[in-house]
Amino acid sequence: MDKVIQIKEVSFGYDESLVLDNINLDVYEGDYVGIVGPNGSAKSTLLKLMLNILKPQQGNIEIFGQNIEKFKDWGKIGYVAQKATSFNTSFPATVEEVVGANLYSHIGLFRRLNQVHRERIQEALKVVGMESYCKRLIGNLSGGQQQKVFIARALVSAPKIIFLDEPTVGIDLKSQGEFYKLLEKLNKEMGITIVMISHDIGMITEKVSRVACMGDKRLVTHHNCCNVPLSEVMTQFYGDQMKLLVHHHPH
Amino acid sequence: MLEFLQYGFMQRALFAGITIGILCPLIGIFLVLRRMSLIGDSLSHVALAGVAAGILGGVYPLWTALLFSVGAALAIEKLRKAYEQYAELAIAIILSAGIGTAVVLVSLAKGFNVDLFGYLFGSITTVLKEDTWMIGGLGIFIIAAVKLLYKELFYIAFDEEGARLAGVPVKWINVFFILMIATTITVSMRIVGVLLVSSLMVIPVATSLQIAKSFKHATIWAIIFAQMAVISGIIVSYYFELASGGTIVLLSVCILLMVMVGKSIKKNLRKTISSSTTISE
Repeated sequence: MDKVIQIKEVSFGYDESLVLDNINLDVYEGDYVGIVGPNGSAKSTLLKLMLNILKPQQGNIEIFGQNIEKFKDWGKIGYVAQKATSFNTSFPATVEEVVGANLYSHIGLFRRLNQVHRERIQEALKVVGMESYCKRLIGNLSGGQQQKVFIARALVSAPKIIFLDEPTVGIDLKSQGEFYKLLEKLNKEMGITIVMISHDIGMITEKVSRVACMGDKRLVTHHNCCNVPLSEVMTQFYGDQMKLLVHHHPH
Repeated sequence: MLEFLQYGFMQRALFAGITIGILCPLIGIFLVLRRMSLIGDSLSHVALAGVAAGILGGVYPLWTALLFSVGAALAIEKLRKAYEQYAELAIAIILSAGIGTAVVLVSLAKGFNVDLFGYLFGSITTVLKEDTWMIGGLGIFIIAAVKLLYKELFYIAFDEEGARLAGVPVKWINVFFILMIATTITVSMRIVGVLLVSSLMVIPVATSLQIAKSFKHATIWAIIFAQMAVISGIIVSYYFELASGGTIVLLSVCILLMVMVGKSIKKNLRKTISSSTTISE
């Protein structure tokens, strides 16, 4: 399978001290990668580096075989931020307006939405089961529904990769279950590569194809199919107190 | 009833008023939603310094006001980067610099207090023919720019990081937007006055947020509320010889209060109806 992201010997620090030291990670087409690690292990920093919001101090990152600095086709990349911090809930925007905004890479500067774009918005909302909410104000929806709308917003530009930063924070268990089911559908049925930061280690072990464990400025990837138990990898980063309890989400 | 329309100054005042009644809420909705409401206040104080400099130097004051406020707008953008964690600090620095310059310039030339009074509080009798050309020209430019950049401005207001990731040229649009704010303030000064211009950017938007069902809806209603306040404000200030800026702003506050009261009455009525239906069931 093709490599869609290649992180090579990347180091990054905010002041003088490094938070990421010589990180390597390859993500392949169709992968479902979960990034886990204790608080302060620079998971979000790594995600921001992959989105070109931050620039690595050493090493380089390639997306679809192209250096990230030169990469222009951001319509191929979807991003779903942590719900709680990502937007102002009293913003007077409808679901349709929010999803449509992300068609920018297809519409371009100065041009306006047309009928074809509106149909694409409907299709994206249909995938997440929110098509009947398109005229509703985003702030009036529940946390789980809002997060589905943000998935639709990422989907509308027909991305090949979707990055998610702790997408289930503040969302009830039932909605979380639906949410993970939806991600599985995007990954298995639509072939979208998913890279997700999560604190829900139980879910990670169940759903993803690979786990990237971060801590102590390092990153270790773990294939769910390999023979080393994930709990051993986890203990390295979270310490001896860490025990892996697998729980099941209601579907 | 409409005899005031036969006066040239009233025609000019209404033309200028209707134009700024579109511009202020159009820019204001993005300002409010980006939590930048105070930028309007800050730039208008700098514009006052520009007016004082113009009067002092014998130059058309609206041009010097435009020059000063555009310069201040660019300085705010620069300072916002220098104090990234204290966004409001940039606004406070420019506000102080603006008012300081204005006071010094006013004290330098003691004779133009009457002229300055009109710029401070707004006046319908002072809109000149050359003002209408400037207001009309810049007004058309800003309306066209917002129309063209509507979806980009919306995306940046909703989620700046998301907009950047989607490829929106956020940096350039932010600079252009702050220049549009500076221009809107200069254009609006004649009618609402330097001290009250930011109120016309904020209050109609605050009113429309009470009833908005979408972003487009919020924009349209903000313009309708601003027009109601501006047109009635100009007429009231003509009949009662009041300062137009204050009258317009007070009327827009009245509209806000009426909408809020109306909304709460509607809510209570709905509650009563739904509880009486439950009882009868």
